[in-house]
Amino acid sequence: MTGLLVDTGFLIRLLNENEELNRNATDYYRFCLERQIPILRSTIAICGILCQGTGQ
Amino acid sequence: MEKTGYIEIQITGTKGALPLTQDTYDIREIRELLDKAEDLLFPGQRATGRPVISYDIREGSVVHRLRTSLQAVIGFTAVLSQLQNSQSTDFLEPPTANAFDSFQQIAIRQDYVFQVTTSVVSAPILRIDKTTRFFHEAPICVDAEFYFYGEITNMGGKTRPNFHIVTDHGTVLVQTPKDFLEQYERNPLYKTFGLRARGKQNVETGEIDTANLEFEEIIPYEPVFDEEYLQKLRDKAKDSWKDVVDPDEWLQQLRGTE
Repeated sequence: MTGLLVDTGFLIRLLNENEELNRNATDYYRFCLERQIPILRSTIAICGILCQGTGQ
Repeated sequence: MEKTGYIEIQITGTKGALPLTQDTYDIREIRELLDKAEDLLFPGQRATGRPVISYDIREGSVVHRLRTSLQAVIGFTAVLSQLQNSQSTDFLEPPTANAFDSFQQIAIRQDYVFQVTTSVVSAPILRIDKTTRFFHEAPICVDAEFYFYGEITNMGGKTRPNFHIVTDHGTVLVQTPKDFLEQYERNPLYKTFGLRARGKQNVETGEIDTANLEFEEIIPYEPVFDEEYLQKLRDKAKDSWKDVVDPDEWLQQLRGTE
């Protein structure tokens, strides 16, 4: 695997602990970091997150 | 089978009251043409990485013949056909488009007629004269911000201080203020970092002008899973997402697909 392209939905699930898919997103995140798999995201996906005021 | 071919550039016109011949054709004009010839056949390639191009000049008024690998000549023949059909250089890579632009400028300035063809059977003869318009439009570039991740292999410099960062797409130089390099306390050499930089980007090709990148920020890059860091982000985000019950529905509304 050369990289994982994530969309806004993934980022929301990663950030929001109340989401039922939060654990899945976290596991994917951990999996990629442990295997040094680059996580890629488009600018528009980040814009989606910024719309809700959580860009950090 | 012959493994080389040639492209031929015939130039006709006058020099004052005299017809253009090898005797009236100045060496500066030969040099100007040869400078561009390489870009016609091998745009953006260095001399060491391409086949040899040999040259001779013939009568008629002046005929430049550039001999090189047949494969390159066949490729160039296809370029000529497309130019003949479209009468535009828009589809060409910038170095090649610039070469044709240069011929067009000379044709107007000197009232010369260029006829470009190749040794390939039934190759078209492309005519460039003062009435044609093989100009290369300057690319539209916009200000943009970039993130480069990779190993920092060099930093500093006397006149143009910079960082050298080795990315997946080659080594990138980012001009960096001397003050910053002087005061930066960590030693980033041979470690992986991110560099945020400002520069220009071609809106059509996406190409980045790597000759003029200006430093904005250095970003430590530590791809390790840090539960504490992630929790801090979640705490910050908590209030923002509390009203979003269904993320899929929220996204659809945001994107206007519903």
